Amino acid sequence: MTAQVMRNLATFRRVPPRLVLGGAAASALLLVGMWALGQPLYIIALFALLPWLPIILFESLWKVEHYNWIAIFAVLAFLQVAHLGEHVIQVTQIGLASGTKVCPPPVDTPENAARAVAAGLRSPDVPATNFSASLVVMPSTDGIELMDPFGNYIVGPVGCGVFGQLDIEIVHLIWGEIIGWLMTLLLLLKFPRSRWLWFALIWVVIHATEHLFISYTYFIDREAVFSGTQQIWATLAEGNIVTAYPLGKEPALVPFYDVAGKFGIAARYGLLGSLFPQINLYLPERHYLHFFYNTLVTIPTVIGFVMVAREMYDKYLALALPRLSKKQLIAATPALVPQTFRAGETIIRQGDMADTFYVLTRGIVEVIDEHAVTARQLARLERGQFFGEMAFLQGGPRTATVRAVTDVEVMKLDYAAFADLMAESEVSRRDIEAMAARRALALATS
Amino acid sequence: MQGHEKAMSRFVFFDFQLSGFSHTLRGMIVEETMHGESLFFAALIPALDTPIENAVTQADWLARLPVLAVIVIITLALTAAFAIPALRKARSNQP
Repeated sequence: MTAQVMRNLATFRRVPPRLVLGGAAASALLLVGMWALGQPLYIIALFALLPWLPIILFESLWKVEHYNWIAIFAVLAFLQVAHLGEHVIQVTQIGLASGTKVCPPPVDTPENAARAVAAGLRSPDVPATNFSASLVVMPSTDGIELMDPFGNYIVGPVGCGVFGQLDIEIVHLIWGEIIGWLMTLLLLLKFPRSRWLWFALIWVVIHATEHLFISYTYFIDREAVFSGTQQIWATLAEGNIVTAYPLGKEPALVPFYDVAGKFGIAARYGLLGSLFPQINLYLPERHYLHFFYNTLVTIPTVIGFVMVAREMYDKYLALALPRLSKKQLIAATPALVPQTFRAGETIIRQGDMADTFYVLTRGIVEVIDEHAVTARQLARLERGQFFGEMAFLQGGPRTATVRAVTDVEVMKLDYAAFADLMAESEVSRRDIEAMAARRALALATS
Repeated sequence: MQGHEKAMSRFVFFDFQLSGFSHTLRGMIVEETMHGESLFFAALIPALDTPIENAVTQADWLARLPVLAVIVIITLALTAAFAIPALRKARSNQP
């Protein structure tokens, strides 16, 4: 059941397969092209993601329209996984790859490039690229290059995840508060019995409190009265790969955030570590602490989503056949196949052989008796209504033509699946028979 | 070869992670035994994130506790505004 539901969610229903394939091909071409051009990782990742954005957006909107809050839960789970992915990459860069946490990364501006030229690190003939640094020569506490025992510089990636330019407080605030905290709270109103979501909420609230406090020090507590230092960078460009090189530190008066606030409440050098210095060394640094928070949020969010997704069904099927049980709706939903029609197109034609039941999910259709002396409209149907049931009950050809008045989307259910559903739900079968009888009467008197 | 040239020679795009990892390991093993100063920790605690000694006192932190208290109250209040109805719904038979 879970696998079927997951397949249903992962399958593209709104976006046609040819567009999905086109998007995948464009993404692959851009990925290879950017790699061949020697672009840095964040540019490669950005271009590879671009073709997917409209596809995923349209598909997500369709799924929210049909599956409501479960689709919104899926969006939250997806965003949290993406967020955790950035954290995993960041702690890998810092912990295993000698990465340096300098977020957002220094940019190869004319100023940073000029410093590199003045220091004899860069030829004046190489212009500034304005690209963000991908690599960093690790600085010592003095702000100059740290040497390993063999006299080499320690060069590693920028320790800010893939999209280090987004590693800024406003992004943390929006992701942590708007997406994480508020969406979790809204989802709890819809899925209050999800224990996993309650567990995630505990850590979401702690995480949100951390970021609200850090954001206060960053955005509001701005008085620059603390003795601090400013790291000076020079940038070297090799093709499009920029390396930041530490040239030392200069004294500066800085706000509270720069000397302390950025560590937040529970990270090393933060509030707790400062008030209780004896525990400071046992506290994790900020990037490890927030990785920990995000793990404790993401895992229960994903498990909670998987649990509730087992109860997913299409809301229009429920509107069309309101006396189906939840279990019957859940079982029938994967068999529904969406199809769109332009205004004026014929969906079914009177007299044709029939094998499909339809639920209207968008737009308006008209039901027409074309066998009358002059073609006559019998009914207009709107979203949440069904058609195609008469031929199923009577076993003959289509008894009327159905034409799209506006652009229309329907969910199709083949007669075999529809027969199974009717066998499961006697009350729904009676409802449909009653509707068919009324429609047959309208047809006979037309 | 100058230091920066040595460094540049290793600026190969897909090599940097492996190179960094090996440096961390080498630094950890050699530095621990030769100098008693851990390069491993130097890698884990980048200099950029190390605060300046005494730049901030406990009094500076204490002065910001009221703000933290307000943030905690607002956070808990907003959380409760959603969580209490959710709990009620969970305990009821409401679908």
